[in-house]
Amino acid sequence: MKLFINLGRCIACKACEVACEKEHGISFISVYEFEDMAVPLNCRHCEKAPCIEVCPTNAIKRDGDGAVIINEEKCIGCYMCSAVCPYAIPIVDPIKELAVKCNLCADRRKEGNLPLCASVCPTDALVFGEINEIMEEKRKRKAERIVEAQRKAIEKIALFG
Amino acid sequence: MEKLILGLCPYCGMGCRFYIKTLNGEPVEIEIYEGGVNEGKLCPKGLTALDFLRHNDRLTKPLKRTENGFEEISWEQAIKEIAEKILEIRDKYGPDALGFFSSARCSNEENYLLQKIARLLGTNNVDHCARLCHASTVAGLAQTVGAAAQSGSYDDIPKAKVLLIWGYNPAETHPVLMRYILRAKDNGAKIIVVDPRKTKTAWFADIHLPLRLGTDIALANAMMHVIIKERLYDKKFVFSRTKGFEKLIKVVEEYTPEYAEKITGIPAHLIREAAVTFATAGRGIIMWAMGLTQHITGTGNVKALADLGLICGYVGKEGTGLFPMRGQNNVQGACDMGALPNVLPGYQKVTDGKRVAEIWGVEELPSEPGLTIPEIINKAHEGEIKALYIMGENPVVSDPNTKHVIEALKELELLVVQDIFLTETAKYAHYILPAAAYAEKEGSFTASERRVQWNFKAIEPPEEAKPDWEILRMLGKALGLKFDYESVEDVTREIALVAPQYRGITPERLKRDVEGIQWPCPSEDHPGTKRLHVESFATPDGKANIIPVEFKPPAELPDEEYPFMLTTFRVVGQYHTATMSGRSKALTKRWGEAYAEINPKDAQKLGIESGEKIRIVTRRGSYECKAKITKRIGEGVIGVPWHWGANVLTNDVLDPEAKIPEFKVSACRVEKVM
Amino acid sequence: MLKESLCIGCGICAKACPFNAISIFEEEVRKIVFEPAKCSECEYECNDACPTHAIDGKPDDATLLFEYAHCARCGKKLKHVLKEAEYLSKKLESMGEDSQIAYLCDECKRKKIFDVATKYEGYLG
Repeated sequence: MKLFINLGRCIACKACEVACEKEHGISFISVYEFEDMAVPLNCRHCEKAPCIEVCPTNAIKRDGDGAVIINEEKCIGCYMCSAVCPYAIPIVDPIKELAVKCNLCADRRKEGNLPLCASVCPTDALVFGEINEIMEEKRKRKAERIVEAQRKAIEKIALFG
Repeated sequence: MEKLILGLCPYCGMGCRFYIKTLNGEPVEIEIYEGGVNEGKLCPKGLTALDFLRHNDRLTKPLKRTENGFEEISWEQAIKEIAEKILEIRDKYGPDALGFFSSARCSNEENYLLQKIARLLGTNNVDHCARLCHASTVAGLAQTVGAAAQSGSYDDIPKAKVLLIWGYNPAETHPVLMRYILRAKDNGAKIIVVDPRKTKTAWFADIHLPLRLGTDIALANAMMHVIIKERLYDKKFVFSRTKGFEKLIKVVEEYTPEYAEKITGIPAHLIREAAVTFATAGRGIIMWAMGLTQHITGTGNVKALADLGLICGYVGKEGTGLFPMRGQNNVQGACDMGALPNVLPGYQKVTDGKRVAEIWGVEELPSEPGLTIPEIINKAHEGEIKALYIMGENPVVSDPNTKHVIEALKELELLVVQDIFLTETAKYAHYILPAAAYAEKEGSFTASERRVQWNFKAIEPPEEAKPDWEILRMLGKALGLKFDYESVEDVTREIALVAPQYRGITPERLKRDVEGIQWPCPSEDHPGTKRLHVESFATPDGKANIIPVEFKPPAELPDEEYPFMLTTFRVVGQYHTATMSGRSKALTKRWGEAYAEINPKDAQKLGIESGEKIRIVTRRGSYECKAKITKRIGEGVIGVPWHWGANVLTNDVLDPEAKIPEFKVSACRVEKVM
Repeated sequence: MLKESLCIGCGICAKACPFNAISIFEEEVRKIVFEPAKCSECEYECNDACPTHAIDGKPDDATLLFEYAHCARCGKKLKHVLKEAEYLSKKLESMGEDSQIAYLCDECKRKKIFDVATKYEGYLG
C-alpha cells in the first residue's frame, strides 16, 4: 500500500497539510505552490528506503502495510535519516528533539481508515492504495475512452458513409 | 461522553457534510462523513470549522454602548430597549427610516423571521450580502430564464463535454467542487477558463482567455458572433424554447473576434477556438461567480452568458446548465426567504403581497420595493435611514469604500449588531447581541445547487449567547408581533406554507433525509428537483428570453494619476472578512498575510522587489501590504485578496439594475513604502 | 580503544553515553571530546551505538575535529560533517541510490525534485 501523488490534480488547497496538522500536531506533508502547478510532498515510504539502511539504532522499520515508521523510543535524534532522504522528509520535533515523519496515520489504519490526507483530498491528488489496483482503475478509464471514440467514429461513418 | 453529530459546513455554498465529535458536550474534532455532496472530502476551512467555536473572542453577553464603552446588560433589558427605540423611530420618521441587513450566514428560518419583522413593521428595506455577490445573477437570470438559481446539480458537471468557467476560481473558492470538474476532465470534457489572472483553476484549462478587466460582454458577444456565423447554434432549441434571437443576431453582428480582440486583448483566433469548442461539444455548462457579477454591467454580463448558454441549447438537459456558484453557505436560502427588498419568500413580488399577507394574518404588506444595502448605507449617510439592524454581516469590511460605510454607520440613531464575534462593524453599534454559531443551533440551509439540508445542534452556545431565531422571536414579541413559535421547526413549517418552492420540505423530512432535498419540491411525497427548465422556463409564457446586451466599459479606467487597474480575489484558506477563518491558527499560519500580486515587468518599472511593502492608492483610500511578484497576473493589473480590508480601495459605483457595486475594477497607483 | 580513522564524527556515541564521558561542541568545526576518566560502570553503550564500530571497549582520551559539509548546490552549511556525508554517500551508493543526496541541503533536495516534477505529471491521471 502506498500514498500516490498525482501532480496533475493538486489545486494547492492545502487540505492535506491542515488535516495532517490536526492529526499529528505537526504537518508531515507540505504543498509547494508554483505559478502553473503545485507539488504536495510527504514521505514516499520508498521500497528501497535509505533511512532504514542508515539508521544506527534500527529505529526505522517497515510495517505490515509497507509504511516506513520511526520508532520514537529507539530514535536518538542523529538525523542521519534526514541527511540521506532524497525528499528531505524527516524533520526535528521541536519538543521531543527526535526525528519525526509521516507514518501514513498508523492509528487510523489500525481502525481500517485511510490516512487522513488521502481521505480529505478534494481532488484525489492523493490516493492511498495498491499500485496494481490503481493502475487497473486507470486502464478501465482508458478503455472507456477508447469505446467512446470508437462509437463516435462509427456514428460518423454511418452519417457520411 | 463521546458523541458524533452530523454537521453542515458553515463556510461556502457547496453544502459539505461532516461529523462533529464532542466530548461531554464540548467540540473535539471533525470526523469524515462518507457521503453528502462532498463524498467525504473536505477543504482546509471545513477541517478547521471547529476552531472558532470556543474562541475567547466569542461574544457571550448582550452589550450596550455607554459613555464608558460597552457595558453588559441583560437580555430582557436589551430587547426591551431595542424594541422601544425601533418603534419610536418608526412612529417619528415612518417605517422606511428602518433598515435590516439579513445574513447569508444564518439559516432559512432566521432569514425568514428577520424579513417578516421588517415587513410587518411596514418596510421592505431588508437586504443581505447577496447584493454584493449575486444580485446581478438574480436580476439577470430572472429576466432571461425566470429562476435565479443554479439550473442543474453538481452531478451534471461530470456529464458535460465542455465547461465554461467565467470569472470564477473554484480551486480557491470551492475546492471540493474541483472534484467534479476534474472528473469531467477525466471524462474528456474541455475546460475553458475566462479570467484575467492565471488562477489555479486555469492550470486545468484547455483554453485560458485572460481578458482585460470588465470586458466580459465584448468577449461573450464575440463568441456568440462566431457561433451564429458558423451556424453552430442549436436551431431546434432556439426556435422552440426561446424568443428574441433575431435581436441578438443584430447586436452581435458587429462583435467580430477582431473587434473583440481590440477591447478584450485576447487574440481573435483564441476567441474563435473557444466559441467553436464550446458550441460543438454537445453538452456544456457555464459556471460563473464574482469575477462576472461584481461590475457595473453585472446584470448585462449575466444576461450575455445566459444568451450564450441558450443559443447552444445548454439548459434543462443532462450535463448542461447555467451555474451561478454561490459563495456563502446560505446565500441561496436567504434569497429564497425573501431577504431582498423587492421579493417576499419564494420570489413572490412585493407589489403583489396579498397571498403572503393572508397567511401572516395581516391586512396588507408594504408594496413598494425597498432599498438595497448600498442604498441603505447612502441613505444612512444622508440621514434618512435612522435605525439599522444587522444580523451576521460585516459591511465595514465587506462593502466597497470602507470610509463611506463607517461615516454612514456613525450617523445612525440606532445600530444593532447581532453576531458571534465583535466584528469591525459591531464596534460602531449601540447594542451588540451575542448569537450562536452554526453548530450551536438548528435550522435548514440551502446550498448552491438548491439543496436544502438540516443543520443539527452539536453543542451549547457559550454562556448567554442565543440562536439568532430565538433572538428574533424575542424581538418580534417585544415589537408586539404574533411570534408564537415554540421551536425552530414551527418556522420551517411556516416557510413551507409561504414559499411555493419549499412546499414539501418539512423539518421531519430534512432530519430523516440528511442529504437534503433540492427545491422546487411541491409536495411532501415529491423527491425534489435535480434540474430546472426541463420542459419549460419559469417565465410567464414558458419561453426563455434572449436579451442582447452591448458592451460598456468599467466606471473607472486607468489614467495618468492612477495608471493601474485594481481587482480583488480570494484565497482558499480565508473566508470573506476572516471573522471565522481568521481565528483558526492552522489557517492563519498558512494564509495570514495581506499581499498584492504584481506582474514582474510592472515591478521592475516601479523598482519593487518581491516581499517589499507597497502602498496601493485609489480615489477612495490607500492600503499597505507586501508585494508578490508573479506572472499569474497580467501587465498593468494589480490583484489584492480582499480578506484583510482591501475594500478601502474599491469603487462603490453601482450596477443600475442590480445595485451591485463594481468591486472588480478600479484605477489605482502603486507606491513603494520607504 | 578508539580507532580514529573510522570515526565519522556523527556524535551518536555522545548521545548514548549514560555518564557524559563523550561530548560534542558545535563550533566552527565540530569538536568531539572523549574523556575516559569520566567512564563508569556501563554496558559499553557507545560501542553498540557507533555506526562504524570505531570504539572498542573504553575509548581513548582524545579530541577529534570535523569540518562541516556544505551544500553542493547552494553552498549552505549543512547540519552534518564532511566525514558523515562521505559515509552516508557510500551507503547510498551501495544501495544504488543517488549518492549526491548526502551533500545537499533540504531546500536544494526539493528543488532537485521539482526539476523533474513535470516528468511525473499525469503518472496516475
